[in-house]
Amino acid sequence: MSLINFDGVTYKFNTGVEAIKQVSFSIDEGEFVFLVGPSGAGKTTLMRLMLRELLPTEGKIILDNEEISRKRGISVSKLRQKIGASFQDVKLLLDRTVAENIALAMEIAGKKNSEIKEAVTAVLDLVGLGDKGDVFPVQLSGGERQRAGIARAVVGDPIVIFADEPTANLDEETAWKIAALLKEINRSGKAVIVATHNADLVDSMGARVIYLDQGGIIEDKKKGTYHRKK
Amino acid sequence: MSLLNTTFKQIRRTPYQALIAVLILSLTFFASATFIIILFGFSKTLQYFEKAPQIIAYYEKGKDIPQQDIDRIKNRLEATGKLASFEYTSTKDAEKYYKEKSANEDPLLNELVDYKILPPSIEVSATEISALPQLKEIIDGEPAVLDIDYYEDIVNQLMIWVCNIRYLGLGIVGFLTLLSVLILMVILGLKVKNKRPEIEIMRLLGASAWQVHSPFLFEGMFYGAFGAIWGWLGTFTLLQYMTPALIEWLDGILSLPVPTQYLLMLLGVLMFIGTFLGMLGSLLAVRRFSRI
Repeated sequence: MSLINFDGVTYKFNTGVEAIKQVSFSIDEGEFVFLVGPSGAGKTTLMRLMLRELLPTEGKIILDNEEISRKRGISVSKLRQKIGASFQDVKLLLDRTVAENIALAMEIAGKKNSEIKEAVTAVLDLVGLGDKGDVFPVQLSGGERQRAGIARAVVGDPIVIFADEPTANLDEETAWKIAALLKEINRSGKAVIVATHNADLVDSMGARVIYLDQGGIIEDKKKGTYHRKK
Repeated sequence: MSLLNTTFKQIRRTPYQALIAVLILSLTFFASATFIIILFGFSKTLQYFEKAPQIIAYYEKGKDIPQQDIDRIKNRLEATGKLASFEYTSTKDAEKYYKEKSANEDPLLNELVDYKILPPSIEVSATEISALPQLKEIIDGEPAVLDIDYYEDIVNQLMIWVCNIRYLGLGIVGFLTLLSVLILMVILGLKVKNKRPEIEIMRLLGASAWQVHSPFLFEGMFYGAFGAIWGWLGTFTLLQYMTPALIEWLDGILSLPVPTQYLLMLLGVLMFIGTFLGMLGSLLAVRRFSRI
């Protein structure tokens, strides 16, 4: 069943530059999808459109049977609570502990304290940071920070996880750990969308790959590799 | 983390900004409360003089005026259509009032004073202050009148003072209110600006506008309410300190000390206004600085 559907989506910046051009694709529940392409291809813009940070200039985006561009105010907040997003720059709050950062997503969703505590402990164990809940983000390594970001993305039990460059600036071993973590999350039935430049990661997964260039989809392969085969 | 916890955490992290906000609001509310009490005092004083007989004419000591003379003067005054009240005080009445008023004074002095050394008098009030000169002219024309007390000047002076103090008070309080709201806006605006990354993250995680903005609104409301309490306390202390001197100075004109329930009502009103001003300053700051 289709979870996300892009239908002829175009996004133009105020300058008139088209970041996304007539993009159409759909992603099913429980699917693992890579968005690949050179810098400036439009991967992050696609993510931002899915998070309704940006509104499409043309076309429709449907997430979980709801057209997201029509949403305003509180319904945008509700929509974002259904999505777990992990960002390239992680975006952890530096004045809160790792556990508090992860709990923030559930606090925003208005969950009870007991529920939050239980879920935070579980995701910290899932991402291998069980003993780092009380430390601050500056005390973590790059890979640990990425894992904390992923933990925050999954803690609210979202229907889809977006991960923007989750392995950027990480050593190979840590990148593999992140990949394994994303695969495990996907195995639990959640759709995972990863925007990446990491060719090894894409090639090893044997997952669906959407190739983007200059704001358009140039290829969409069920079991793709990072470099397109001619 | 609960809303109040977040608000107090924000306040604790920037204690000097919080102190400036509370101090400026305290100053505003101190000035407001002080002007309100001064104006209230002046209005009561004005009321006293307006209600008191505005012209008192004294006759020869110890000699009462015949009834037909009293009636004649009253008729002449009534003919103007401006007479509000007319009262004759005989020498015996004057003695009675004197003894009542000076019951706690030296008994020897009380023994010495009797109706023979007190003048009879007529007390006249006009329907409006502007009619007083006309009534005074009629009384002046009475040959038996020896002396006249005339309050028109006092009432006019008081009215001018009340009017000026009202304008001055409004000007100063208005200026301080504007200053307070602007300072609150700048202080909270800086905080909102410093927290933009956090606000952005919260928005991306699905926080509503209320979840993002409410800690700032509560912070502003807290500054307003706290500033009102401190300002009121300043005025209250000043009033308590000055009450003995005021009682001596304004005895019979104002009823002092000011009843506690009025002062508590004033505190309630100031806290309400403070909370509103705090909220206004925060709203302006949030609108101005939290756009992402």
